[in-house]
Amino acid sequence: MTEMEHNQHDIDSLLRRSMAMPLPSLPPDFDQRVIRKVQPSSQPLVRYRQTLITTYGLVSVVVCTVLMRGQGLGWGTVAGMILGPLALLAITTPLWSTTKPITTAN
Amino acid sequence: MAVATAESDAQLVARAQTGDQQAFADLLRRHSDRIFRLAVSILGREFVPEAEDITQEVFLKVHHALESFRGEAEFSSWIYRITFNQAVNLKQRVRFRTPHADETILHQLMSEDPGPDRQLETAQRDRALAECIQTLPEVYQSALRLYYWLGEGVGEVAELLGIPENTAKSYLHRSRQLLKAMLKERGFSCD
Repeated sequence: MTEMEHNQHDIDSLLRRSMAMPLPSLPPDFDQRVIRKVQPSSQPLVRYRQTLITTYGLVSVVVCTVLMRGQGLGWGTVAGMILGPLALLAITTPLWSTTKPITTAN
Repeated sequence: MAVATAESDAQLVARAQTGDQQAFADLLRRHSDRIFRLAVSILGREFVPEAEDITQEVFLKVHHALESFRGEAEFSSWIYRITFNQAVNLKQRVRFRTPHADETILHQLMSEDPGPDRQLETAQRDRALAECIQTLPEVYQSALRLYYWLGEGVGEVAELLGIPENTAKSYLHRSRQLLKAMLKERGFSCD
């Protein structure tokens, strides 16, 4: 130990004791929050597309129901014809997803 | 056997500059903790939420300015510099605001001293020490907190503050010297 180090040994120990406190850390979702913030410009567009597709879907259901009822089909058949493809779509959509999400995990 | 090599910052920056969000996410994951530690070392332990805000602001700023980054300096040095400036600016603004947690109270929570007299004495000395630290130049304060509180080595302190290692050593030495003298002046010993 040099003389300079020896002279500062006591203040060094005091600083170590006095500043020994829990280390703060970032919240686990911090990186994801930042990622969401840097992509705000695409969010209105995504919302617009979702609204457009939902509206189109609802109008289609109503029109199909009216047309199928007009052809004399029963409610059960109409419901099956509309809900069947929708259920199939709901099951298979995750399999179609090829877009790799942005991840921040190791 | 295939060995996965981590991409360098320069490679990730080049990809991020072309709009690759995954590359930006990788840079964020790689540097967010160190940016946060640097910010908290400048602001002090009473302002941890503000340090988190600074870390977020730095990455938003980096994302915005990434296109203009030409790679003349290391990416890490660039963001450490931005962090330092942002945190020092914020510190000027929050200087007179009541902190979220007083340093002495925090210390008392950690203290295991049995006697109330000894505890009071320790608390008074720690309060005096904390006050003395506040009077040091920003860069000295930051070096002390990085080294003694956040457990960084001298090399890391130098890297985060953008100074040579010998300068970091000299800052720490000078800080200890000043603190010792200030405590003595206030009637406290360092034992």
